[in-house]
Amino acid sequence: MLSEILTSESFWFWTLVIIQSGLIIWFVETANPVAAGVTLGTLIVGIAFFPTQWEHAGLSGLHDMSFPAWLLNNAWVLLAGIGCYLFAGIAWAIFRWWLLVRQVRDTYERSKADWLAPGNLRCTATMLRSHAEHCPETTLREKYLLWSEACRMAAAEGGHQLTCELKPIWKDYVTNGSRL
Amino acid sequence: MVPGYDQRQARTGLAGLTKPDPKDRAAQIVAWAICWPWNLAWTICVYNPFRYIAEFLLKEIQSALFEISNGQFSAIEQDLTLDPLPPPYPIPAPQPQQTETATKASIEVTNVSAQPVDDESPAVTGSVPEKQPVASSVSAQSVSIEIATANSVESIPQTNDKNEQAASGTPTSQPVAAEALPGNSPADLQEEVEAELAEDGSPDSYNWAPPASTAFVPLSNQPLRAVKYETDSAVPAKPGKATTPPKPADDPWLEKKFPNQ
Repeated sequence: MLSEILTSESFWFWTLVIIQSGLIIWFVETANPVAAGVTLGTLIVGIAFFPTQWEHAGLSGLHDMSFPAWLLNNAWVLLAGIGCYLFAGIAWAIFRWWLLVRQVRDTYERSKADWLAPGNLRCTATMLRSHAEHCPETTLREKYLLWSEACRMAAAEGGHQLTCELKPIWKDYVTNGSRL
Repeated sequence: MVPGYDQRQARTGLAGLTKPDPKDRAAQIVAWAICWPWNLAWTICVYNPFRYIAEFLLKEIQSALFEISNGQFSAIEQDLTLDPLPPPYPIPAPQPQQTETATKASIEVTNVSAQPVDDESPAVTGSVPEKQPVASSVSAQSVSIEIATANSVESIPQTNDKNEQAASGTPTSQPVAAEALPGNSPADLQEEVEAELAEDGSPDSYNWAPPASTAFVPLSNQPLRAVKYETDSAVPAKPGKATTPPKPADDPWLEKKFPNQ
């Protein structure tokens, strides 16, 4: 049973397709277009080693003629297919860019909503006061005290509002994270 | 350290958030374009783009509906807005209020018939009343000139632009006109006094003219009338007189009667 599976052309064909697809996805996610293109090329070339699977790829005409003759007969179809593929790729890239920016914005909005929650504002106020107590610099200490008071007031008013007093604290949080 | 603060930061991952730049991510965009079928499958499986698409469409539809309602109700909202609007009528110009009472400078000139008055006469040099000792005042003639001061021109409250322009357009440095000086004095002496006062530049020599009141010209209530011109006449027809085009002579078609007429 196992020997039949391992000797079948179909098994190795689909194994090749799956592995190559995984590699392509990996290279695309890691922003490596050269490796992704090479992997795509090897996948196309690898199909040539599985003549029994050509029908699945729509290449059944290769059985009747040589590869150069098949290229000449289907040149316009091939060019049109490549053009459509690239056009669809550009359209997809634009949509994917929109999706990426949307994800970044969504992450930002969720983080802001979490940060402006009254409980988090109270925690931030306590943390800023603790920073101020241990800060030797007078200017920095006054700034932390001011920010702490702003957070405390915003939490007392219910939170969920990025007021003018909270904006510098939020900007510092976004820029530097917790390293205030 | 407040517990949970760093955990939240680690969860959000907002540190160093910057606006995505396509130039910085050109390689990834090219990879998306080249291997789009695989990236499409991966994105659908992992990132669930339908949620973002649905949210985007929902917001777009919502904003479009708001735009429609705002466009239709803008006039109604303007009608129901109770904000104070400027009055549609012009504000009458207030009369100038002088904070200081008009002072009267009296110049008394002694003209002795025996001694001719020259330009260097000390009797007319000062604006304050001066009295010259009369040696032989047989035919002495006293001339009194009253000058109204207008030191409070700047203190007039301005109500609208026209009054402001009128006040600024009024030259305050011009000398006192001869007509503004009451009193029956000889013309030559009056001119000399004017010249002296103008040279002094004292506030007493200024003349202030009140700004012209704002004239309100009401719009005509007469409706617009349409004027009808005769098409065949070269000049417009006078009202009440209908013009008929002259009939050409020797036209057989005009004399012909048709059965349907």
